[in-house]
Amino acid sequence: MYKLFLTLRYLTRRPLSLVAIVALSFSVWALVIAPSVMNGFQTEFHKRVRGTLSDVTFYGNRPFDLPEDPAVARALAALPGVTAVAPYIENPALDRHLRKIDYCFVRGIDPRLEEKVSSFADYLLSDREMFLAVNDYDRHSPERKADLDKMADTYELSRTVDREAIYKKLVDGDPEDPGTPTCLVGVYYMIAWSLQVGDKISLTTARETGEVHQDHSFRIVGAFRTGFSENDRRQVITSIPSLQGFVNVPGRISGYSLRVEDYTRAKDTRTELEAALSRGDLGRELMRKPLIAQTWDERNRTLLQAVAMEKLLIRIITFLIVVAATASIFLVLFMAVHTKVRELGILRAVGGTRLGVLSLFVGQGFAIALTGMALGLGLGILSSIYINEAADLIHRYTGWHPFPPEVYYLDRIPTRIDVQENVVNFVVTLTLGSVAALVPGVLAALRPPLKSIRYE
Amino acid sequence: MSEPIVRVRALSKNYPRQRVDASPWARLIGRVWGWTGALDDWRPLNEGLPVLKDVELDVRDGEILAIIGPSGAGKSTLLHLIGALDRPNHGTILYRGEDVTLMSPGRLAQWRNERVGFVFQFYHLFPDLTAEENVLVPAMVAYSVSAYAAKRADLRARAQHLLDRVGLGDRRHHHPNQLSGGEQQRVAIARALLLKPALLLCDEPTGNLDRKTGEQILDLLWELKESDQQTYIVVTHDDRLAARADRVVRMEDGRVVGEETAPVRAVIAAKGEDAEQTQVASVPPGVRPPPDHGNAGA
Ligand SMILES: Nc1ncnc2c1ncn2[C@@H]1O[C@H](COP(=O)(O)OP(=O)(O)O)[C@@H](O)[C@H]1O
Ligand SMILES: [Mg+2]
Repeated sequence: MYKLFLTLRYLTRRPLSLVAIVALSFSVWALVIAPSVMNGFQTEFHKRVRGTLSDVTFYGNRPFDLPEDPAVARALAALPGVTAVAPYIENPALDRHLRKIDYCFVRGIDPRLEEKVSSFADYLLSDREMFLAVNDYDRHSPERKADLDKMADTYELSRTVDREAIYKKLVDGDPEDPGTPTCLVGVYYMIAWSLQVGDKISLTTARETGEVHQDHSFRIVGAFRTGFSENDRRQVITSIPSLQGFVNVPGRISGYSLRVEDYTRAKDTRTELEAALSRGDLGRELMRKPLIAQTWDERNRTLLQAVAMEKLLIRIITFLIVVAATASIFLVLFMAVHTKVRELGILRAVGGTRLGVLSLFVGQGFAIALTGMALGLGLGILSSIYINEAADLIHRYTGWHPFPPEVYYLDRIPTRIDVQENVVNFVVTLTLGSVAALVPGVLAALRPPLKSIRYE
Repeated sequence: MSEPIVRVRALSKNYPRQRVDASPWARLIGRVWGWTGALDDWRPLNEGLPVLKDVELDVRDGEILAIIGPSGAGKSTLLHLIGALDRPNHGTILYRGEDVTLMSPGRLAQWRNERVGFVFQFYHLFPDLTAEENVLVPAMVAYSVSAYAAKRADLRARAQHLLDRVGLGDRRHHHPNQLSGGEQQRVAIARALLLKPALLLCDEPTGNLDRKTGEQILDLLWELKESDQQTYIVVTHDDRLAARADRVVRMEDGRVVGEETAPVRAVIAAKGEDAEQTQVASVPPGVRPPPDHGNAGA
């Protein structure tokens, strides 16, 4: 009985144990929030990387090395596990805007095939989304947001994307401006050059042969947002024939995008593809060429590895913070042993055992760890749910972006709380807290009662 | 006369004293071990300082025994050994025939809890607990949470009764730092008596209090003694206290050197209650306190 009673009493009467609780809850908070952001970041990253890239890409080492051949596409589609195949062609270009010049990557696709191998279709923006995105809707105060919403309503901007209309314009050209090739651009590209649908951009490209093709006009017929700010800033999408015409490589493409049933097994498909290639299943011409098949994660290996590495480091750092915080439990209890020597002696004199004294301290350590843990966990979960609101608030009052989208490729801070990870954290912190209490506890228990009683 | 409640035989205690010629390492080890109480007189580190030398003592059931003697005579040490707060180097201490020096730690804790009450010179209350809670500590130690909850009403009534008896019935929610020394000592007495121990061990219960308060504490102790059910062993160098005991044992230099019995009480009865007179007249020559009393435990 006395252990429970005294533990509670000491905890509530000692401001120092509150300090330990606060220290611990803050560190546990960090331990929850930091990995949850990293997890969310990683998940989101994987999703976007896969969304923009397709599961397996099959391309030539030299530009425009593959023929636009339905037989090859059929052969690829016949590979086990492959559910969809789409050809693509790409080339870098320079874009000229009044007096400035910048670079971009032009990608030619067949939108009706492309939507089956990547999340391309999901990235297309409705008129309303485009309007709000261009006006930087997400970063505004509620009042300004309401204004923007109202404006969007008065303009009667549509909330849905008419994909088929966009595809038609992309492939067949815009009826309002027949003969001009059409394109889609990313939102940041639009914002950067103050463009809107219907505007024309002027691109210049070159070939590896030295040919230069200057100032081709492309008419913007739509916009997309992949969430990858590098894509949304520098990618221009057009149809395959438009780009073939622009670069002057009729009948050639850069490669094929493949979607497979299970993206985690993309490697198997790559192996199959390589085997088929060397058997000549894709045609004699392709057999002799330096062709490359890569899975989505291989294409982004360094990026994905960097993210994984960052996550690991954050995990280690936050864990060290927790260790430091449990050290505060040790200190608090160590001091308690020193200030309470006499009481411990009395406790022994009225019949307390060594084990009782030990459990008194371990109990205190456990209780501190438990409360600190619970507070930190609650705080961490709450703040990982409301992290974007918090970031917006900070941005509103200080003008500083805690999580700038340009740096992190992401518009919103993604969080994902990994339950298993937090259960481990929970157990480890509680164990650490109790172990930190064990040393002072053992010292207190070993102390002969007389040492504490004899003198004032 | 019935069987003695406590029988002390050939009791010796040496305190470790660090050898002056010990190496720094030996000193360090000696300090660490000395702190934990083990290896008290491990030869290479410490040499024994004899504090009790072959002490023999019988404490009769139901009596009030005063132990007097100069400071440093070993009175406190003897009391602590009887209460098994410390272990002797040699000899035995029998409590109703059971050797307390051989009890297992668990049994010892239980024995102390049920049979022994301690009152110390410096009260030693728990500063974080109220007076009432302090009194209830032995019960908290004795019972599990559920058993305590079941007995709570009875225990609180008993605590209230004791606090009323010591005159602090209306102070039960006060913390020790809100109580005077005499009041704290009264709380400590109530705590010691909560579980009706058979043996009450008091080490200079009035040593730290002024005369008048000391007097009150003594009255209280005598008043609270539940006749023949309880045995008191009171260490003191307060003559008035000794004068009121059933029996007085004098210690000097680690030995029991003399024993005085009942006459002291008779003298008090004859001389009336005047304290000054009692002190001068009632104490037999053999038990006159040494001149250095007053700085106890120094
Ligand atoms: N922990 C200790 N280490 C060394 N010597 C001690 C220790 N405790 C007590 N002593 C010595 O033992 C002797 C007896 O002490 P004590 O029993 O307190 O005497 P009393 O209570 O009669 O005044 C004293 O000389 C004291 O210095
Ligand atoms: Mg003493």
